[in-house]
Amino acid sequence: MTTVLSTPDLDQEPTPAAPPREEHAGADRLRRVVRTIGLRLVVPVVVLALWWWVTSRELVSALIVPPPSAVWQALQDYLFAGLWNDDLVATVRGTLLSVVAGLALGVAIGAVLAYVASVKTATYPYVLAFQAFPKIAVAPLFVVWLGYGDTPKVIIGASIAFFPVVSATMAGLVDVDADEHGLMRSIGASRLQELRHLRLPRAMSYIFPSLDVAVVGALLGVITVEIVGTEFGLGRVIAERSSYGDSASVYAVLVILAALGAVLHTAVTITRRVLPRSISPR
Amino acid sequence: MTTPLAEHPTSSSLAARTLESIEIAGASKTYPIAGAPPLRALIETDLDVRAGEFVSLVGPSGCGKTTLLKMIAGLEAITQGSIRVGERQVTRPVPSVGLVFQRPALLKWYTVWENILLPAKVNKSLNRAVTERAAELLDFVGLGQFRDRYPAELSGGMQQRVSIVRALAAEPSVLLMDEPFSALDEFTRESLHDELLRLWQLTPKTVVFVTHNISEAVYLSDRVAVMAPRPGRIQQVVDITLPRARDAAVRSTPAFFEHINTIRAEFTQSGALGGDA
Repeated sequence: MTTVLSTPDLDQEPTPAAPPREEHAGADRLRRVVRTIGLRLVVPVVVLALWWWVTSRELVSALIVPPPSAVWQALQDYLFAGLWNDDLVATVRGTLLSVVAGLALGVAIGAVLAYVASVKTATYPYVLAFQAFPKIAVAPLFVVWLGYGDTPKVIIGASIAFFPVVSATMAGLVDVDADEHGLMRSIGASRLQELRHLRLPRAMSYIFPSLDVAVVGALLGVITVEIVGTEFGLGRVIAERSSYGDSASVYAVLVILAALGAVLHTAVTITRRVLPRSISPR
Repeated sequence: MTTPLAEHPTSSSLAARTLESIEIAGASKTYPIAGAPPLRALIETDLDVRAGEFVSLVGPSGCGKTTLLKMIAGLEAITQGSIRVGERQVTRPVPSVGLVFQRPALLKWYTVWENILLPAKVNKSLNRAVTERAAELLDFVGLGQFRDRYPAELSGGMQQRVSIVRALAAEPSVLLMDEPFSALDEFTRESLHDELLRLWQLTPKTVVFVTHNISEAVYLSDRVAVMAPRPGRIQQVVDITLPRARDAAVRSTPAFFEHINTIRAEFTQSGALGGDA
């Protein structure tokens, strides 16, 4: 009888079995995808239509809101013609370097703060104060000190990207389930093994979401420094074109930045999915 | 789904290491509390668990049963007295003592298979014998085809099976279980009772099993230590004289109910069922 009683809940498999009719499932799925894409397009279509309507009726000056066609023309003349290549590359490079630096510093300092209580006591109030400080306010200073290259961008970008990562690392390393901790102790795990098998994977599930915020912050910092002054960068294009009253080009850059933000966000999401679960828990 | 016990190779890798007894001699646990008299979680306690014996600690919350279990495991310091497992004085956790918790405590970023092998990996004792043993145990509890799944994809009963296999794969001589089935529904729990007994017969172990469920303790144990709170103590140790090779039919025999009533009477006497338990 033991064999009969042994596994009753195997009958209810946690993952649903494949639907009986494959082609129907495929059609259903396609319909769902099409529907999702359709719904996602509603907002941009409405915005574009309103934009076009407002500008074609000349309800506002073209200096304030240029018509969509002018923005498209600017994208063609500058972006697609390759005139903004150096600027685009500089902004992307600055943002990526900022994220990497912010991530590395954030994880390292977060781990020290989580593990060494005296360091946390000594420095944490100042870390918080630094976090509250509006870092872009010092952008002009850094540009004066460090010139028109990548360095001031990365310092400001990284200092913004750093904070979400620090708090996530600290929270993640400290958040340990009592039973899981008891398990690691009972199997005689060293502190290092506990870090490797328990605390680090747990912390990663905090750090990855914080990366999304960090990427946005890095881009913000980089653009700000570029507006203040740099040799190449989309922020520089915005400053320059604004001073000429070339609103269409400014709008074109804003469109590029929106796309860039979306691409970076997607890159984080994909990285998270591609990494093995032991590094990126789901 | 599972292999019947009779068909199972007896000369398998599941043969246990030497059994160990547990000797609890005047062990007590006191927690200091600032500005108040110290909390006596467990007064001086004596209990000898024979090698290969299945003993349950039963009692209401606050009776010190989990504290005593953690002291045997070496997870909780012993305030006074001593506990020996085999020849060893308990001072810290050791790999030869397996633990099963109330919740499965499976690491969600590892597969079932990686979770099961984690203790051996941490102790650097991972070898072919361990993996063969783990595979055999996993097949035995009917989860052989789930080894590459993640814990979240398993039901609660399946997760707890995995956590028992994890404890046993490390080839412990002593198995300590802290209310392992209390979070499961009645049907799953009863099937896991039978599975645990089959595993225990397949790979004999000294088992200490903490529960607040009297019938569970009677069904599984050789002896039941009835515990009482304020201060935490062992009130009485009751021998369970039901024949071994127990199955679901035992649950409806008069002898089974007699044992339950005996234990219940002990609780009434100690005032443990006074209400706030």
